[in-house]
Amino acid sequence: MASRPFWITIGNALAAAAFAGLSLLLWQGAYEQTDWAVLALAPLALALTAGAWPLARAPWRASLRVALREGSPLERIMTGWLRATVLSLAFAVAATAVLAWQALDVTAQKAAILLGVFCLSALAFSLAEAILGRHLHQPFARAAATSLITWTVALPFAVLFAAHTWWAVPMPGEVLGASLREAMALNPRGLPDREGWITSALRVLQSWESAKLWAVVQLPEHPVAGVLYSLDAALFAFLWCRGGIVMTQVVEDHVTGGRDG
Amino acid sequence: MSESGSQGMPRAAGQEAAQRAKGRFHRWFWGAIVVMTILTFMLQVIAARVLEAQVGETEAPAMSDPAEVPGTEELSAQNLKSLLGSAGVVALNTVKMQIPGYIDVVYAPVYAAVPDYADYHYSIWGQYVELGAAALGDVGSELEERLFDGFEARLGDASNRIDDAFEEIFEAELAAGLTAGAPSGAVLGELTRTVLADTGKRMMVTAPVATSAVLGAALSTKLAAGAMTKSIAAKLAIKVTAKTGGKWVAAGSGAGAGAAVCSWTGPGAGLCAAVGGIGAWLLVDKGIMLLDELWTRDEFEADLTQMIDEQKSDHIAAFEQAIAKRAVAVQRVSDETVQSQDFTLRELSGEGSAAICAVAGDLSERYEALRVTLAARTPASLDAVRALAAEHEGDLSIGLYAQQILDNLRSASELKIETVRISGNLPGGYRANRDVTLLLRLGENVKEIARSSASSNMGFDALATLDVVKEIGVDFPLDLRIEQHRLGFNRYFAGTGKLITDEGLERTSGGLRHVIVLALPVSYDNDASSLDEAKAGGPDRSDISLDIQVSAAALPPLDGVARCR
Repeated sequence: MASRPFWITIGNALAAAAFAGLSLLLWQGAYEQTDWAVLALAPLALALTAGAWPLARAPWRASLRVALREGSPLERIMTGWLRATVLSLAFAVAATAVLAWQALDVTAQKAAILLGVFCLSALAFSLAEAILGRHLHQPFARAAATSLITWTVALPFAVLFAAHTWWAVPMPGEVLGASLREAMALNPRGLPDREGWITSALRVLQSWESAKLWAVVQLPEHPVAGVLYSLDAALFAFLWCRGGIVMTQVVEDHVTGGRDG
Repeated sequence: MSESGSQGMPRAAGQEAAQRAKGRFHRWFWGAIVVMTILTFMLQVIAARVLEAQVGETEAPAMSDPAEVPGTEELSAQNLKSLLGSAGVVALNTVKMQIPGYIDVVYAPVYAAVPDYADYHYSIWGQYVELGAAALGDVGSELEERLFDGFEARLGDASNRIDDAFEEIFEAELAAGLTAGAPSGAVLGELTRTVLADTGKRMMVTAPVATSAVLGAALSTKLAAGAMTKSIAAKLAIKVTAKTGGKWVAAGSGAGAGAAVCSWTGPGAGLCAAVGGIGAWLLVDKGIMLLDELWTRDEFEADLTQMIDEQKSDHIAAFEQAIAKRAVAVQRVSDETVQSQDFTLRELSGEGSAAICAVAGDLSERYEALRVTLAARTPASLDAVRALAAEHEGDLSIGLYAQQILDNLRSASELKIETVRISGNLPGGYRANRDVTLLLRLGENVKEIARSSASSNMGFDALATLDVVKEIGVDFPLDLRIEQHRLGFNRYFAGTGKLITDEGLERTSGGLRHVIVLALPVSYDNDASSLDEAKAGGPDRSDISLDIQVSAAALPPLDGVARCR
């Protein structure tokens, strides 16, 4: 495995963070005006798809080669292309949707923290891949590094975010005296009041969030409800960290340099 | 071509294709970054311009830096509460310092009119008009007209200016606090803007100084002129007394001289003499007035000025009190509005709901007991409730509830002693069918009950109406003196005791009106020759029953806690 200067690794992480950050920033700014702002998310979705595709296919192909006998015609049929496409698209859509939803009401402070975590995931992934590459063949080293860093960075970040949600994030007071229907009709994120397919989709997400909060409010004697709500709110951390790792792989593979294995 | 060479060619072609693909991706990646950067920058500029236009229309706080991300931010209840609180404090302190300036403007014409009024006061016409007005009990009307012309209108105008200043400073401080405290680039969310707009509107109509009950009568010109009226009337009385004797002498002499001079008119001599007398009167009056003015005008103007100064100080104090009340009312409005703003999950659960609702329930129960039961209002129980409420005064969920309890309990320690029924009979050897006069002293309150009948068998039964307000838990000394009216010399009896209010209340049941029954031993004082001299402690005693009717005001019921069911 070719080693890479550390400054290139940092550059890769920053480039990946810049790409993802700009896409979400553009989406956030344009969504106030039009539903066509969804086009701003296309670069991010494409990049995530491009990064997740080899991550889904390569280990599966390697496993298949070990499992299949030499000369088996199944090797030409079971290319893993469809599987990788479905998985990578599913990941890209889910990650883009969740990150776009989070980006709608993010503040500059929160954005800085998220980008920091993004870069940390990217750097940690590069380091982990280099270390694991000395012990595992590719693509297993990359797959292991991806999984390992997703958990080691995302898990503590998710816990911290959940604690912050529990302790300090203000919830709209209107939900206290509201019925379920009234709570689902609330608009705490200030979504624009216009018709559109994106807005309709986001309203569904918003209603779902409000319904969860309403359920928590109905159970004030059970703190576990609030804890679960906080943890649920923090789950996006896994998609965010995974996205950082995937984006870094895209940059490493297709932008700044190739990779052995 | 060799085999390896022929196999290497497709591989090399594949690698070349991969390199070209990578090159295209490379250009696409960096191109996308550049395009997104340009578009983002353009959007920020457009959004900043749109926001500036919106700020001009809606008074919503603008972003501090248009180049930053315009995310929305909802301020927490704590932040809002402290923001609104500090805005109120700054507005109050600033306006308080400005009040003397506003009142100076109101009183400037009054001071300027003092020499004019002095001229009037030291004129013949003025003197007689004042005397006539004094005889009718209306010296103040000329004073009001000359000194306080337009005063009420100016004072009303000052009230409005003070209110306007308070509102302007409040809003300016709020805007400054939001700009300083909000995350840079953040736009306030809709909820926060709604709260601020709502609070602003309610602040405008909350307890304005112009209609304050505290100012009420203080704004009346009659009140302003009242003290001066009395002083001037007193001066007039002294003047008249001092001058009249001399003027009568002068008038008499004048009349006499006039009669002598007018004797040639025959029957008209009387009228002529009278005219002469009046003329002499007026001449003397004028002379005395000139002397009076010379000696006393400076003092008169100084007195008038001092009285105006005192009145001005009273007005300033009244305005300060009114604006302070307004600030408290605005704070309450802000707290009420903010309380419905938001909460955190921690407050709702865990350290929030269950524990806090338990406290709210406890407070509610204890308060309810105090509210309608006088017997429950012992100093210990009042202090306990106050302490518990004070402990939670700053709590987001029940802070207002606790504050409400503390405010309502301010007058809970007050006990009104309405009447005292004094009944009984004198010590055995002194009973007679003779009237008695009673003198009751309760603390510093003294009540004499006029002469009433008493018999040797039934004794006496009198009712003293006191209507005094005392503090529960404070003991009051009781002193009863009795004068038995006889043909020769009267007899005097005295007895002392103590009214221990909480002990007395403990023996009562529910409700807000009770009768505390005490037995007070009275004894004959052989040495006393008046009620004031009578002392207790003699050998022959009898118990006089004191039925002390006490009552307390009901405390207002509490509003519920929104987050506790």
